[in-house]
Amino acid sequence: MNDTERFDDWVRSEIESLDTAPENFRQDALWQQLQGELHPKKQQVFLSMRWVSIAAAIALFLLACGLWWRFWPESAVVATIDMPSNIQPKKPTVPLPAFEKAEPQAKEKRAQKTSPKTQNNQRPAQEENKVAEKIIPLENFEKPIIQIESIAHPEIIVAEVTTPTQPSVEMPKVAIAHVPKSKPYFKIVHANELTDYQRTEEAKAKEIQTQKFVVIHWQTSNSPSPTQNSLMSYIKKKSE
Amino acid sequence: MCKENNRFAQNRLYDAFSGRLFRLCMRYLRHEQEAEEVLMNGFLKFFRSLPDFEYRDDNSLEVWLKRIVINEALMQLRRQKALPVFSDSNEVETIASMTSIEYSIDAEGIYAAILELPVGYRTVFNLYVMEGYTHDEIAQELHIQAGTSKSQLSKARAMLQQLLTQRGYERYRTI
Repeated sequence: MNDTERFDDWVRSEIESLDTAPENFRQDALWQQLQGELHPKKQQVFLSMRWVSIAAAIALFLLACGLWWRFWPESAVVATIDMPSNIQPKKPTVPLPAFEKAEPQAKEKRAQKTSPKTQNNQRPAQEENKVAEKIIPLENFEKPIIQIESIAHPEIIVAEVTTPTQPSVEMPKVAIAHVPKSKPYFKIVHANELTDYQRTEEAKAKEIQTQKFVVIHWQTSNSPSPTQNSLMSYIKKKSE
Repeated sequence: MCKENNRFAQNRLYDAFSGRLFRLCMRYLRHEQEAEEVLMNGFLKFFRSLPDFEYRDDNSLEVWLKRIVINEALMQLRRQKALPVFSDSNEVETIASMTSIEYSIDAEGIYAAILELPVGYRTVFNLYVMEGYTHDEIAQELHIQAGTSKSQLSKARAMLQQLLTQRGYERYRTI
C-alpha cells in the first residue's frame, strides 16, 4: 500500500467515523417534510360555521314545511254560506289526526291542495250534481235540524264531515242540506269547531226555551229561500 | 415494517442514517438547502422503492440508500450545471504521498477541508475515495474520460493535503 492509498484510507476512515449529524442539519424539520410527502393528509373540507348555520337553517325550514304539509288540519269539511261574524271558527286545541288515518274522501280533498273557495268556484257542474244527489231531506234529521233551525243563520249547512279518529271528540252528525246551485260556498272547519258551534247553539236554544220565545220552523225541504218562506208561512198561519 | 409504510419504522431508519447521509450530500453540494432537498428526495425514492428491495443485511440496505442519495446529488449537480467542464487531459499529476502519517487528525477538520475543494475535484475525490467507484464508473457518471477522472483525483488529493497543511497539520506534506 503506497502513501496515496494510505492517505485515501485514512481520509475515508475519518469521514466514516463521523456518525453525528452536523449542527446545521435540521433533522426534525426535514422529517416533517418527509412525512408530509410520504403520508399526505386526506383533503379535508373545512366548512365555516357560517355555512353550517345557513345549511342548518335551510334544513329546519324544509323540515317545518314538511311537517306543516303533513299535519295541517283538514280532517273536517263543512260547507257554509254566509258564516256569521260572531261565530268564528276556533283553532283546534285537540291534536289532529294523522293524514293517513283520515278517510279516503278527505285524502282526495287534501290532494287537490287548493283553497276551498277557489276550488268550489271552479268546481264543474258534475260535482254540483253529485252534491245535489247527496242532499238528504231535512225530515230525516232530528236534532241537527233543530240545531240548525235554532240559529239565526240557516245558511250554515253541513255538507260533509270526516270522522275524526280520536275517541274523545264527539262526532258531529252528517247532514247535507239543500244548497242553492247558483251560489255554493263552502268552508272547511274542524270537527271540534263544529262541536263547539253545536254547543253554543244548544245553549242558545235552551236560553230561548227558558225565556219562552217562539221558535219558527222556517226551513222546508223544497223551499228556495227557507228563511223567507218559513217566515211567510208563519205570518199567514197567525193571520188566519 | 418500512415496506408496509409504517411511520415508526421509517422514523427509526431516518434517524439512523439521516445525519451521515446529510454529510454525504454536503460533500457534493455547496449549500445546506440543496443538501436537504437532495436528502429528502433520496429518502422519498428509498421508501417508495423499498417494497421492491430484497433485504439481505443492514450493510446492503445502507449501501443501497447511499447510492440513491449519491445519484440524487449528481443529478442535482447536473441540473445546476455545476459540474465543471473537465479538461480532457491524460496527464497524470504527481501523486501526492505522505511521508509520515499520524491518524490523530480531527475528522471534522478533514470534512471541512473536503468541503472547500472545488466541485469537480471533490466530486471525483468523493466518488473514488469515499464511495469506491472506479475511474471508468466515474467517467460514465460524469460523462468524462477515465484519464480525466484520474487527473482530477490527483489534483484533489494535492489540494486537500495543502489545505490540511495550511490548517496546522504540518506533519502532512506532499511530495
